[in-house]
Formats: sequence, structure tokens, C-alpha cells
Amino acid sequence: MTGSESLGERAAHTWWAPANPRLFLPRALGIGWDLNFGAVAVKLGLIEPDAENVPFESTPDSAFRLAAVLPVACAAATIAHYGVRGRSLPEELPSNWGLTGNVTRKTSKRVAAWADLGLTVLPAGLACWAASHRDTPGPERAGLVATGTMLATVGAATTVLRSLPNPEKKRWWIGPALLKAAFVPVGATLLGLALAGRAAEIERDLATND
Amino acid sequence: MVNEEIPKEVWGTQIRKGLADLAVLTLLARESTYGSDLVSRLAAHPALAMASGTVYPLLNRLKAAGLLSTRWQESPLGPPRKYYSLTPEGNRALEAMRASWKDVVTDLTNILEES
Repeated sequence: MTGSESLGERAAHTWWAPANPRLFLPRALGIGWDLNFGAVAVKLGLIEPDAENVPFESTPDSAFRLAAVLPVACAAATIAHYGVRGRSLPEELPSNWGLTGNVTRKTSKRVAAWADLGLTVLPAGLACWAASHRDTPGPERAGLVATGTMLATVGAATTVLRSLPNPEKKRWWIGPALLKAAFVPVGATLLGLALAGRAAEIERDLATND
Repeated sequence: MVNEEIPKEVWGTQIRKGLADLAVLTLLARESTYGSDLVSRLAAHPALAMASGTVYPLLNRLKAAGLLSTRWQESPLGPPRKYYSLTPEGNRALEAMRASWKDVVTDLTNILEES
């Protein structure tokens, strides 16, 4: 990473470094470590460590547009959820869960709705902006789309979890479900963008070999 | 300095680190090849064997330095593969490394024989 990189590029380089075998890399923002989805994909045999010269630089526009569909779908589903079921939901909804999946705090339906809508609509807008800006470098677009995807899927998952019947019931799987919502879609998005970039590089090179 | 506190494999790793660029560039100067084949070729020389987790970042670094170029090529077996070749700059760097290496070997041999 270099100091001149934008936040989107830093996120992309931290989350997707397939040539680097380390599973955890220093975070793009703040302290701690981020999962290197590129190393995970290489270990699972889904992509080669050197599949792209520069990750996401050759990824076509169509792949970025396709990647933005998931956060947009999350935002649309959240809007529809509160639009259709909003009135029938309890006046208070869970806002925090303990390690065992028990509800430890609640908030008003209005606050919960605004939080969930903000957490899905704004990231979806970010992903759409990145997907539609052709002049923005590929790594930055990928980082922004991935960030938007992660936030939107967590927002949508939180919306679903808040609306489960019998909120007092302990559900051990809530923590794993939120982790899955945070990591699996963003990993799949980055893998898809990288495979599209790889395919574009192959097409370019094989065309000039002929 | 080698002593009982520095196991042979640690000493070997330090030497390999210093010579990895020279070994990789020399193999690629002979013939363009793809990453996993390069790992296999290095593995044929146990003193220079490196894991793919070492070779790919090294290839990335040499490519970023302008010493290597890459090109996807059809493979007779399976999907296309990315082949690495030396650029003119890479060839010049290799010549300079070889000259330095010969000087090091000559001087080190003299020191070892003197002792």
C-alpha cells in the first residue's frame, strides 16, 4: 500500500491480495487486521495467485454493474420490508444481541428503521456510484463496491434479525449469521470481479497472440 | 556468523532470500514459464526451493520493478496460463546480478581458503 492510495484502493488491496499468502493483513482504515479474501480464494483453489497483473485493473464495467446489484437488492428489500411490514412490527425492536444470541437492548421502531435504511441505502448508493464511474481506477471501484456490499448485507441481515418472532428467544446462530452476512457476500463479490478481470486479461492476451 | 545458535535451515533461508531474485531471473532468462512451473523448477534444486507463497510475491515485485512482463497463453493441458518473461531491463539487471554474484563467490572462496 502507498500513502497516495484512496480509501477504496486501500480496502481493495487489503481485502484482495491473492499473491500474498497471509490470511490477515493490516486494516485499510484504523487498527487491527482484515481478512485477505484473495488468499482464501487461492487456498480454496478458486483463482491463481497471479490471475491479474493488478487486481481489478482489467475488470470490465459490466462486472462492476453486476456487482452493484446485490447492495441495491439489499436496500430495496429493506425499504420494502419497512414499507409493507412496518406498521405490524412491535413498537420496540432489538438493537443489540449477546454472545449467546439473546437480545440485550431494544430501540424504537423508528430508530431501528432509519438505522437499517441508512445502513443499506447509503452503501447501495456508494456501490452504484463506483460501478457507474468508468474513469475511476478499477481497484478503487472494487474497494468501494465491496465496502458498499459489506455494509448493505449487514444492514439487510440486521433488518431480518430484528423482525424475527419471539425476540426474547435465545438464538445462538445470530452471531455466526451476521459474520456470514458480513464476509461471504463481499468475498464472493471480490472473487467475481477478479475472475472477470482475469477473463478480460486472457481475452486480450490471446487475441494479440494470434 | 554461523554458530550453534543458528540452525542450518535458518542460515539457508537467509542465503535463499538474498539469491531468490537471481535464481528466478536466471530460470526465466532460459525459458519463459508460468508461476507453478517456476515453483517446480526451483524445487528441483533443494537449496533454492521456495514455496509458492514466496515465489508469487517475488514475481509481483519483479514485475512492478519492470524486470518481468506477463502474457496469458493457451495451455495444451487445461486452462490458459500466465507466462513470465524477462524484459530488456530484466536482462540488464540479470547481467549485473551475475557479475556481482561472481565477484562475491570469488572473494568468499578466497576468504574460506585463507581460513
